[in-house]
Amino acid sequence: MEIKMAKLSQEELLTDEGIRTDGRKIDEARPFEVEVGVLTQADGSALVRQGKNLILAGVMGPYEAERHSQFLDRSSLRVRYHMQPYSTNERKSPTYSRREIELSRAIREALEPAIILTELPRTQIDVFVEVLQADGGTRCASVNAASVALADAGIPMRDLVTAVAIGKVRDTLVVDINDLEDENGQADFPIAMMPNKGKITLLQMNGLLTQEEIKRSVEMAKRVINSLYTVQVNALKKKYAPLAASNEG
Amino acid sequence: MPRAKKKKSLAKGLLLPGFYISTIEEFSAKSGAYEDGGGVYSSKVGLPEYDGMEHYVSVKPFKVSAPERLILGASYVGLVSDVHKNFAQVTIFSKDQLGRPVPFSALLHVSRGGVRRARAATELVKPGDAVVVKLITNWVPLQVSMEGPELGVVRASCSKCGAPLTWDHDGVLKCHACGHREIRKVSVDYGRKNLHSALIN
Repeated sequence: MEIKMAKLSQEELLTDEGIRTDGRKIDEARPFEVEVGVLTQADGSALVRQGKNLILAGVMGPYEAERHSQFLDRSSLRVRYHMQPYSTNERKSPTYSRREIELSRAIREALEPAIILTELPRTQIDVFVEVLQADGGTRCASVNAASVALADAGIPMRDLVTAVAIGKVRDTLVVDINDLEDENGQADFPIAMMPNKGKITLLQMNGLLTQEEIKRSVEMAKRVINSLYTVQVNALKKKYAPLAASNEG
Repeated sequence: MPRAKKKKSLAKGLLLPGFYISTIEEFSAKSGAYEDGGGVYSSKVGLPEYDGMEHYVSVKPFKVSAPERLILGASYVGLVSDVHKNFAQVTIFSKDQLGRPVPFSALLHVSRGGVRRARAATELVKPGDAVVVKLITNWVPLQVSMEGPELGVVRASCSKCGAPLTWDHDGVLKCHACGHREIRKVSVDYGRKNLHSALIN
C-alpha cells in the first residue's frame, strides 16, 4: 500500500521569520558528522550523518579489473548507491531501481574528477554506498561519505569531494534541503566540489532557478561545502593523527 | 588552473588528499603527490618525505594498495592460467591492505622462460602449474621471468591422469601413477615450496 505524504504549502516550509520546518535558518546546514574506518573488511569506509540521513560507504580495491571492463590507461571506478528497504517512510523495494542506477552514475561522475585514475591502469575500484536512513539530499551525503572512504582506502585523489544541495522554497534559496523541502520545494540544486581546488564536479537541477539564483546558489554552496569539508578533514585526522604521531616519533 | 598558494614553510605532519606541500621550484612530485598549477599537493593520506638531494617529495601512505605492493624484481608465486605459443599467462598474487591475496595477471614470454632454445611456451609451463616467477615490469602489462635456478615450476600435475608429478631428472617430471613424462622449466624448489604460506605471506 502506498502511503501519500501530505503536501505542504510554501508558507509551511518557510515561515515569515525565515525559519524552516526543522527549525533551521535559510543558510544553516544540518548537523554533519563523519566517522572513518567503521568497516574492518573493506579497504576504506565512512559513516556519515547529515541531519537524519545515515549513509555508509565502503570501498574495495583497487584490484585487477575484469577483462571486459579494463581500461589500458586508467582504473575504472564503479559506484553502487543503494537504499535499504527501511530507509524511507514507506518500504522501498530492496531491488536496484532506476533511480538508484541514475544516482550511482551521478555519484560516480562527481567523484571521478577527484581520483587520479591514471595511476592505477587496468584496475577497478568499487564504491558501495548504503543509505541506511534517508531524509533528503542523500546523493550529496553519499558523495561526502564515498569521498572520505576513498581517501581512507588509500586511493590517490586530487582532493576530497564535498557536496550539498541548495533548494528553493517560498521563492527563497535555502541550503542543505531536507526531505520535506525536497518533496514540496520549488527547486533542488545539488552541487559537489573539490574545496581546495574550487572546482565543481557535480551540478544538477530539479525545478526552476533564474541565472541570478544559480549564481547565488553556488556562492551559498561554497560556504557550506567549506564547513562540511572541515568536518571530513577532522574525521580523517581523528583516525590517522595517532598513526602519524607514532610514525614521526 | 589555480595558482599555487605562497607558503613559507614546507608541509609537515599528516597530509590528506589536496593538501599543499610546496612549489614545483622547491620539489618535484613523486609517489603519493602530484603537481598542479605550480604547486605540489598530496594525493594520499600519509606523511611527507623530502629528498633534499634530488629535490623530490613523496607522501608515504598509511595504506598501500595491492597493485602498489607489486615490487619490481621480487619473486611471486603464481598459477599458470593459459599457455600460447610464444607466451603464457600467469596469475600472480599481491596482498591488499588487509593482507588478503589479490590476483593480477602477468605475461611470461618464451624468451624469458629460462630455457635456451625453447621453441614454445608449452615447453616451459602448462595450464594449472604453480610457478615462482620474478616481476620484471611493474607497469601494465605486467611481465614476469623464470630465468634463474630458483624460478620455474614448483608444482605440476600430469596432463594425462592429473596425478602430481615428481622430479625425475633435469627439466623432466614423471607421473608415478601412469609413468608419463613431461618437460617443464623446473625450479630447484620443486615440490618443496609451501604454496599456501607463499600465497598468504
